[in-house]
Amino acid sequence: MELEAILFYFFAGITAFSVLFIAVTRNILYAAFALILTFIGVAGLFVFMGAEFIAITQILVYVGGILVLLVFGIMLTHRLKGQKLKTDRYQMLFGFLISAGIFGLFIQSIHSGAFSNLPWVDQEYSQEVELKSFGLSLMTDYVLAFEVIGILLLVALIGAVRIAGNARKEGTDAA
Amino acid sequence: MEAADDMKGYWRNIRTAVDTLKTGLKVTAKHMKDARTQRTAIVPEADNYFEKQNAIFTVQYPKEKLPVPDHGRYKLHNEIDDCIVCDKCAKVCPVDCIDIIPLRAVEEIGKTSDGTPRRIYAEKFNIDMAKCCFCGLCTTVCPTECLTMTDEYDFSAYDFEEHNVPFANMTPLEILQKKKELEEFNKQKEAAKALKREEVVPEEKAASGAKPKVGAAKPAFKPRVPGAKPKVVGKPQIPAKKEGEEPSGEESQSKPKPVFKPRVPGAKPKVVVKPEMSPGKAAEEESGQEPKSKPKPVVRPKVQPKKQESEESNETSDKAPRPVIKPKVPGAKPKVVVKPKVPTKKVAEEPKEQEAKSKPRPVMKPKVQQKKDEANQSESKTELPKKAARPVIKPKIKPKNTDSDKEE
Amino acid sequence: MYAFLFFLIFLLIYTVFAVYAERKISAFIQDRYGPMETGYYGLLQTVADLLKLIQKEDIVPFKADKKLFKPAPVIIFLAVFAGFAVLPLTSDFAGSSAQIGIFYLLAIVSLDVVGILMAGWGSNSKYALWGAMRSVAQIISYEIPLGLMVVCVVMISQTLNLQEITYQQSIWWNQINPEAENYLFGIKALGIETTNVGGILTWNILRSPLMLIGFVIFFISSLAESNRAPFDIPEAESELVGGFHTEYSGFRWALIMLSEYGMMLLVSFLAVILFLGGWNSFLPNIGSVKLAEWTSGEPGTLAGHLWGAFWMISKALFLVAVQMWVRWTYPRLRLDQLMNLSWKYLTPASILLVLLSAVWRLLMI
Repeated sequence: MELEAILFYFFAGITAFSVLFIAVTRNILYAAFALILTFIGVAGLFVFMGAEFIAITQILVYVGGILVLLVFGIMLTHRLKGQKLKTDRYQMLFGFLISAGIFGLFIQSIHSGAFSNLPWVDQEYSQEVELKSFGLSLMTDYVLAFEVIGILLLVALIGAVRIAGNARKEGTDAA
Repeated sequence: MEAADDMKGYWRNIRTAVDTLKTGLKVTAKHMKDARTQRTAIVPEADNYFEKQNAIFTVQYPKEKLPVPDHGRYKLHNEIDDCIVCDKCAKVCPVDCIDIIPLRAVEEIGKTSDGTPRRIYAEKFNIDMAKCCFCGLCTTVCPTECLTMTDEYDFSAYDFEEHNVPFANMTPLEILQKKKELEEFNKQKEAAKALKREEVVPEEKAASGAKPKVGAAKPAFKPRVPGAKPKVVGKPQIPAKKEGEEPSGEESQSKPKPVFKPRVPGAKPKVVVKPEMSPGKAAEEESGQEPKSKPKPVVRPKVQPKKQESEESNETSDKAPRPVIKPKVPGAKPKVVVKPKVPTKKVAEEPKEQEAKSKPRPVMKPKVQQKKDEANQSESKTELPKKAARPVIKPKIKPKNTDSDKEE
Repeated sequence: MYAFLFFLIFLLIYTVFAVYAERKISAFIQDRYGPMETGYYGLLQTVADLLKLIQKEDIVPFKADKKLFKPAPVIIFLAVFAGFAVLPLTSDFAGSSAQIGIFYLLAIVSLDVVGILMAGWGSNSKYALWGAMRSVAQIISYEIPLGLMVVCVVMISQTLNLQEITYQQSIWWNQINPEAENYLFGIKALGIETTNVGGILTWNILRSPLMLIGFVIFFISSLAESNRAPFDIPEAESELVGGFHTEYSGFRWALIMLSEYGMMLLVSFLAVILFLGGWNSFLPNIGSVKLAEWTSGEPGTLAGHLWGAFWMISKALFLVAVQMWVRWTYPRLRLDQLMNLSWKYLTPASILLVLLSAVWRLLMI
């Protein structure tokens, strides 16, 4: 149990510090890499919640896919002239106030919510059941949503190909 | 329609890919399998030389070596006991990698293994294998065949200096001793000269003395030539002549000529150079050489360096010898008498040789005649060659001077 | 914990001799000897190289982005090594028996890309940046056929657990699932039950013969995933010097090489588990000649561990050797050829295979 607690705080620390770093740093690239760290930390926390599948999906989709493309995009758009890619800070005061307010709100709601007293928190769960039931419900109860998402992605893909293919219409062998 | 073609191409691509990938894997698998054995070294004459062999090529060099021919043309070797220090190799060397300091002996110091008398010590005989271009010219001109190329090809060294191989085997003490002896000998000679006051006689003596030697050397040389045919092949310059000479020499027994001829071609560069030089200079040099031939032979070798020649010649001319020289020049003319001999020999040879060979000779002749002066001089005294060489070398010398200066 | 230590030590030893094997194989293919001087037949050459590497100065380029440059090799190695966590080495020995094993493996290995990007960007060198970009483009492209092949296997096996996938290809399947049955080529209609025959007949490549093609696609994609020739344009010595690891030296470079060879081993292990029966013997039981039982021990016993580890490792090493063989046979693909291969050939074929596997699965029940 001791090890699990350490690991929990480790992942929580990773998440918290990397998020803080994103907020503080002015270097966009660092922010992107820190965001990767955040997602890994969050994935670790998901595992502690028994949501292994979500955790892995988080890594697979966000870290392996989206964020790599994000970093890629930063690198490609960054003009290699030596200057670092920086952002400026605007509205420091308002930003600080708003985030502090949201933070307070969260603290308040967590305390008043009393999660540990919720009926489903301490329930035993089985990985097996979780994964199997997850798959089953995906293909039965939520099959419509699943298929709609699939079609949406297909449309997005076709659109991307259309946009990308248009640019070099002149070359017949470009297709 | 197009789409159908595209599809055909698509499937064809897959088939080609599968086929070629399979072939590729087979090829490399075969090589891996054959790597259990090592390829045998085959000589080019072998029947299966061009057959494809699949086995390990690599030779684990220091442990295993590929055979090299016995007559390999790699590292140079000089058998110093057979060397007469004629300096021919140094002169012919296109990259000047042979460095010789001769030291004249007062008397004959022995015979080479072919019977040629040795009269000069090699105070220094260095061959810089780092400079050597392995052309083999030096081995070709070597009259006693003491300079040969060996089949040793791995002479890498940790220090660059180690490439400069010394062949002279005299200790510094010996050198000093011999020098002293020579000085004394020269003094005595000088004294004798002063007494006699007749310079021509000794000169003639010297000349006449030298000639018989040359003659003596040649018989020894000749028999080798046929045996040493590789050499003949190696001589890119005048193979035809040599071959022609050999029979002529053997038949006519006119030994001196064949010997001369090879040298003449070798000396050709000199001939070419000479015309460029101002006649006055040449005369000076010649005159300078001649006086040296008697009193200074000693001096020169010591000073050695071809670099200082022009200076030397000036110095020598400044010194007493000059007046002496002139009489010598006429004295040298007796050599001119030799000239007629040379052409006659040639004429004699020509008939023996094939007509085709006779043609090249006319081309040679003009050069030869010019040379004869030199050649005669040079051969009249073995020391002279060096002097003769110097005018030739002069164009080269200037760069050398700078080099040597830098080195110094 | 034991699995962690085992795989760490095994990975180190394996890498040393894999580098040696790579040099020997390349040498034999090219009619050379390869290393011969250090140790008997050059066996200690890589050890000597490693000692040298460790002693070398750790050079960080002056203009490099040190915050990205320094940790990048560690991240690459961690991503690869984390993949070993779910590998079942024997019937009873694995780091984690997570239910989502194969899913986790795919996800964690894709973190590799992050390290490569950091290395490429942090080096502040055009070669490194080009190498990193190519590497990422390549890995992301080839993750699709690779992932789809995994999906095929998962559809056949009905589980994400690598240990269970292996059990299904074994004669011991009934020990964890008494009702389970294997049929020849997975066709129940044939009526030839192979559950107790085992051997190569119950490997996934024969449980569903479609997987033979699937295995080839998986193998090609795995070559690209581990940046091996003929898909080594990210390193492309002849044009990019060293690709994303151009600026690295000493220990950090050694770590990158370790990751590369570790990746080779990881994908080979994965291919063995998914297609080639994992820790199972390839010899089937024929009547009373129980070859499969003789060459594999009961799960949980010492013999089971030893035989399992033997089959697993030897199969994986064989695949690594094939990877080397392929590397020294084929020329490097150009970037457009690489993308063509992935998107026009492998991906459509994979999608088709997923569909056919679904149909095949219907034959199996």
